[in-house]
Amino acid sequence: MSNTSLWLNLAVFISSLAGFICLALASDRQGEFLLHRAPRKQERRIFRLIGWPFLAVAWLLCWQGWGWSIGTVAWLGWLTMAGAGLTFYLPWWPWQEKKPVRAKPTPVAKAAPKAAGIGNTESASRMSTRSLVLASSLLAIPAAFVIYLTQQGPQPVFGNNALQSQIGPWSFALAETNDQAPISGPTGAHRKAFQIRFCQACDPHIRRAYLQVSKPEPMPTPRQAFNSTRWTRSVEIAIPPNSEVEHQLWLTVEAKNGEIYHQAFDFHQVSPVTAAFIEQMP
Amino acid sequence: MKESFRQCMAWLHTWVGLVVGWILFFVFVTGTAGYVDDEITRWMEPERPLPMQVLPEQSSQMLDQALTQLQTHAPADSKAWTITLPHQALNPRATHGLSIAWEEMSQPGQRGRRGVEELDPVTGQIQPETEPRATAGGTGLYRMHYALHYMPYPVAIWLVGICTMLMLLAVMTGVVTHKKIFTDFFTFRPGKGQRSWLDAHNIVSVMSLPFFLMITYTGLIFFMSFYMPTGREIMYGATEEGRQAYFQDIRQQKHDFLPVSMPQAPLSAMMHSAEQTWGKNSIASVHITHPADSQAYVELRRTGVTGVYWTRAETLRFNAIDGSAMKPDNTSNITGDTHRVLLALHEGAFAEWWLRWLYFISGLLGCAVIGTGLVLWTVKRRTHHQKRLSKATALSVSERFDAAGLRLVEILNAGTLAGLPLGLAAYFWANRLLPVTMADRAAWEFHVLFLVWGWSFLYACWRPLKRAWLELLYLTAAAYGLIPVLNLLTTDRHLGVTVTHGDWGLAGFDLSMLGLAAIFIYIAIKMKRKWHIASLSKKTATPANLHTAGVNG
Repeated sequence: MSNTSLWLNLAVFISSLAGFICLALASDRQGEFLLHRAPRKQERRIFRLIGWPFLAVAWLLCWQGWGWSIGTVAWLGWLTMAGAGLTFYLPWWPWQEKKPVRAKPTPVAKAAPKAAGIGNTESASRMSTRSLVLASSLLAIPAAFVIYLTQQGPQPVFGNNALQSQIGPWSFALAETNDQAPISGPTGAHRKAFQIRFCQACDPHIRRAYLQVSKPEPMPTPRQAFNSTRWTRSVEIAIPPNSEVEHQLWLTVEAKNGEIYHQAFDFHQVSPVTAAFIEQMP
Repeated sequence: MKESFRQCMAWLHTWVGLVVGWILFFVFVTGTAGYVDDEITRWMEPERPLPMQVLPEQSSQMLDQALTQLQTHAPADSKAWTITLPHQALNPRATHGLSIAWEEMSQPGQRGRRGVEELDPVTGQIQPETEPRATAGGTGLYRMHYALHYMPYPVAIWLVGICTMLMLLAVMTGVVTHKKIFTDFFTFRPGKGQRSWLDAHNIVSVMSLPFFLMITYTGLIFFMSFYMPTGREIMYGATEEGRQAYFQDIRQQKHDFLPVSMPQAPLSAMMHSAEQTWGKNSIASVHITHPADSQAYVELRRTGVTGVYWTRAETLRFNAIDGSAMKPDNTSNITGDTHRVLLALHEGAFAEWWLRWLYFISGLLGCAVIGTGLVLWTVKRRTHHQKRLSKATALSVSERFDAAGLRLVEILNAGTLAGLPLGLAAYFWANRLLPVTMADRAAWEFHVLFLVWGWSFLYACWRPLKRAWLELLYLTAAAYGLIPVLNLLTTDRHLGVTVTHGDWGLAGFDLSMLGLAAIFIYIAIKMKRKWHIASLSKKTATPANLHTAGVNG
């Protein structure tokens, strides 16, 4: 079962940490670093004999707390934290031997050549043209983005071109998702996307809405259903090759109480581009 | 062959790591975010109400009210009814109230339609749901870690698959290359340039090796039948029908169902019996179906997890007619179970919040390994490159090529290691700043992420490298640090509210943003201090370096 006890997690962590400290004491470099002298063979053996059981105890605690499967995952996780934490902490270990400061100049000297940063050693003339281009693009791209963003209107159903109407007792707004002509899919069929949004009080009463070209007989297929069951619902409908403008766009609404409503709209009302597209279809 | 095995492996490790490093960094960053995706989504939908602090006690009255609502609201030919009782759920991780759901009979070639309604736990009436802003949320980030963005799904899956395979290779070769894995187990030597980077890279890799091996290997397992379809094609045929049959076999959806009706046996008795085995308030959901070949039954599902294999939750099944206990189907098979356990390890959905932090930090360590590896590549070559510059007056073609490569990697590093986190912060900013009714809003949040990331590449090209690093890091730290402030200004779900309400999921997001800001500011200050020392000594030591032009090729 999920066990979120602080004490259990802390105990696992401390036990792993203690185990790792012992193992560090038993190693060459860290042993000398922590003890200020090389650990003797005997000492190493003792540190190992204490260290490994600590790690095992951590695993037992995990097993007790979470069962063997989650426990093992938690154990490995805490081992990672304890091991990495200890290793990154060791250089700041307070009781280390004060070494002569000979180590200090080395990093400075080593780092010195890197300081000749690659960009800033450019000759001035080449730098200026290129950096001018880059700098202007640095400003131009966000600017273009902001302009493009401000031209993005609201969702089509909130826009001025949305058709406001009523079906049965419910009012709604219906709009095309974009004003592009229908796109042809891989199978050659043409598709066009629409959005609908029912009024806030109506929305919870509607189980599903459908949209299709020509009258549904007797019910539309699930393929014609708006793909969400709340708020702004959207659908991509197929425009069959034999469509006529007179077939009209048919909205079907299925209420949660089982009532069904159908209503037809002229293409011109909702999507003039689709009307034009159907008219010029062969 | 002159080179030793280890040298070969070192070469492989270096170049494999470099080639896929940036994509893997993206995958690791977004994947790490995926461990807290539900919390991120929650934060990105501030319209949702604060969750209940104390869950109402599960009662048989709730069940009865829910059944009545199902009878009136679910369509007549439902395949299944589900009642979810108030509990803390795992996937998605959220506090669930009382709700009902149903699934309609599936049409041929289609999945059955589903419906959900939230109920008031006291009155049992249907509650209106609040409309959140359009956002892909944390789920969108999580999805990007295998499906990327702006590209067809199969391409992305293959790309990520190849990178994951190479990552697995890099992990293996890395272990071979690391000569003194046991001697250097606890060794970190700070302030020594390349040596320190290598130490850091080694420690993080070795310490979280179990996580890396697990995460890369199980990552490949996810799309196993996609990457290696031959087995399936031989058994089921290479056609679409064969594929469908295969997945149907895996999901074991071969049953035919009859429409669900009101169970005749009282649910309260079943609830009572379940509570005796599991304890009080331990039922997650109640599921009612009627398979064509057996009797209608009611299945109760237990809350919480008992192991890594959390999808196989404990259930109790009762006959819907007389209420007698029934034996659940035995659906376990060793291959399927192994597969699902591996996936569960990858997703970590079983983890309670302590363990989830461990997963999250391990993910960050993964980002750190990739980051330090990429930086190490440039650090190694830059010293070499500087030496060559100070010697020769004119560079040969291949040397110019090398220099251009180095410059490219350096720009990509600064642009990705600092730029991607900046883009991610911008994603959260966009969530709060883009107009709520805007068209394609969720898509624009992603556009902002990638735009800011791309912009940081340009920035890294334009500024001197070290300046670019520092300034991008400062910018990133500021972007994260100001998110709680932005949240305060734009919503009423800020720290003042969430902390006092005890909603640690939401408050944790804001606090983590401050934590991330602290990490980035720490890195920036650390870098600045180091480079400051370096530039001081340079003035006194090697003025010759200043006149080495033409590095950029």
